[in-house]
Amino acid sequence: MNIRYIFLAIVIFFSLCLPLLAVTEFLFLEPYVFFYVPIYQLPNFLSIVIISALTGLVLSMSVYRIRFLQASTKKLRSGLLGSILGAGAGACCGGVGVALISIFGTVGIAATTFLTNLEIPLRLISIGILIFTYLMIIKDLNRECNLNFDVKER
Amino acid sequence: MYAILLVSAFILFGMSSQSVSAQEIPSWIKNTAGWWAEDRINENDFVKGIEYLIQNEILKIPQTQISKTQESNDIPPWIKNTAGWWARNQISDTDFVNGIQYLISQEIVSVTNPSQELRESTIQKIGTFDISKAGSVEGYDDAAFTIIMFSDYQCEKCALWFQHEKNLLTEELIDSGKARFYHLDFPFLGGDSFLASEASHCANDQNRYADYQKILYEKQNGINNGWASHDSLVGYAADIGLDTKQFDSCILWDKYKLHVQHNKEVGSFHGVVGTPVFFIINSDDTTKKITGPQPPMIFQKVINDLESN
Repeated sequence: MNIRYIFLAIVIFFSLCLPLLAVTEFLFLEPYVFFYVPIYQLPNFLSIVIISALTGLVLSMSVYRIRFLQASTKKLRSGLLGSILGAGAGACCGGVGVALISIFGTVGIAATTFLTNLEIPLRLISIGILIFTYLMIIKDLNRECNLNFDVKER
Repeated sequence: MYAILLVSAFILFGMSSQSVSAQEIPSWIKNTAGWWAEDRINENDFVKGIEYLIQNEILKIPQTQISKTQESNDIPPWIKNTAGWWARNQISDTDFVNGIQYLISQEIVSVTNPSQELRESTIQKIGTFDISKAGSVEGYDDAAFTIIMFSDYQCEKCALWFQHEKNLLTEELIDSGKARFYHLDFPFLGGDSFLASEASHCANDQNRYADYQKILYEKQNGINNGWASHDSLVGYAADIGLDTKQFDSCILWDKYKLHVQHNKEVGSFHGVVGTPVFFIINSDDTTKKITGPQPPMIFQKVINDLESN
């Protein structure tokens, strides 16, 4: 067990989850700092937590593979794609959506429209990509490190 | 010599640009002219619409003298043809304006401007917010606090807040007499947002603002994907039993375009960039901002804080 990579996963989780919760308006900053998850928004909230947790796991494992096993950055990239897709979905209308509109004008409106209209499918695709990447990394680590976790546990 | 030519060119350019600006016509008016030419709207609606556009200075027509030469108040067929040709870009803006000037000269179109004084007297302010163009107000006149909500009908968070949190807010703060509630438009998510806001004001013409707003939030389903198109909006009006002919004409003529624009400007002036955003104002005009779809208990806490200060 490598504490540094567990710590990295936790840092990635929080640094993705907190901004996302603020952007998707579960974490409010004005007039008081206040955290609120209404029951009707529970699936939305859970999807953000799952995406953040998977991102933390996948990115820290990818960094480990790249640093110690000189592996390619392909899985890191697919992990990042999954995270960005999940983060972007449903960012309207409070923060990121508005920033996109104001910075990119018509293109921003189109991007916000796309991300908002396909919020749930995009989140599911994002989770799918992250889970797939996670499984691939586990498989690679098993092969590259020549370890068998089942045997080790016994 | 060159200097004289250059000065003459500037004078000519200046004169020509002045005449263009005097007849600036927003391109969307072409659509309505085309609809009239195609009999999709009737003559009366066309005249009313043109009058509204001129009176509100959306359509700027050079000053025209009244010199009635025709006895009836019917629009001559050539005007309709002109409107159709203009809609199809077969004739210039000036030709269309000439036609409108003819209607004004025959007193078929009336261009009496509402006086500036009358307009100014309709400004209704709470704190620094002009709420004169708000759709409707909920609550008692003597309520100590005012809640102003800025929202976009295509914003999902606004719809969810309205469906799940608003009732409790109404029970706790509005029905109890503590606060009044105003809804101001802040359409920023594209054309359908603007249209939906205009439609809500059109419903207000028939005293059904709240019902129409409710159905809009219930039907909310994404951004610019058709749920708030012109036809859908008329459909919702029919669903709640509005006079669809009147409603349709109101939307076609952009009757409340200026109201919606005004409300959006009020929001922008107060730093609104996304929706929903709320402002709570007390009787001495102290204002607190609530950003995002927050629950009623936060509104209650802000009010308690304002009361204790």
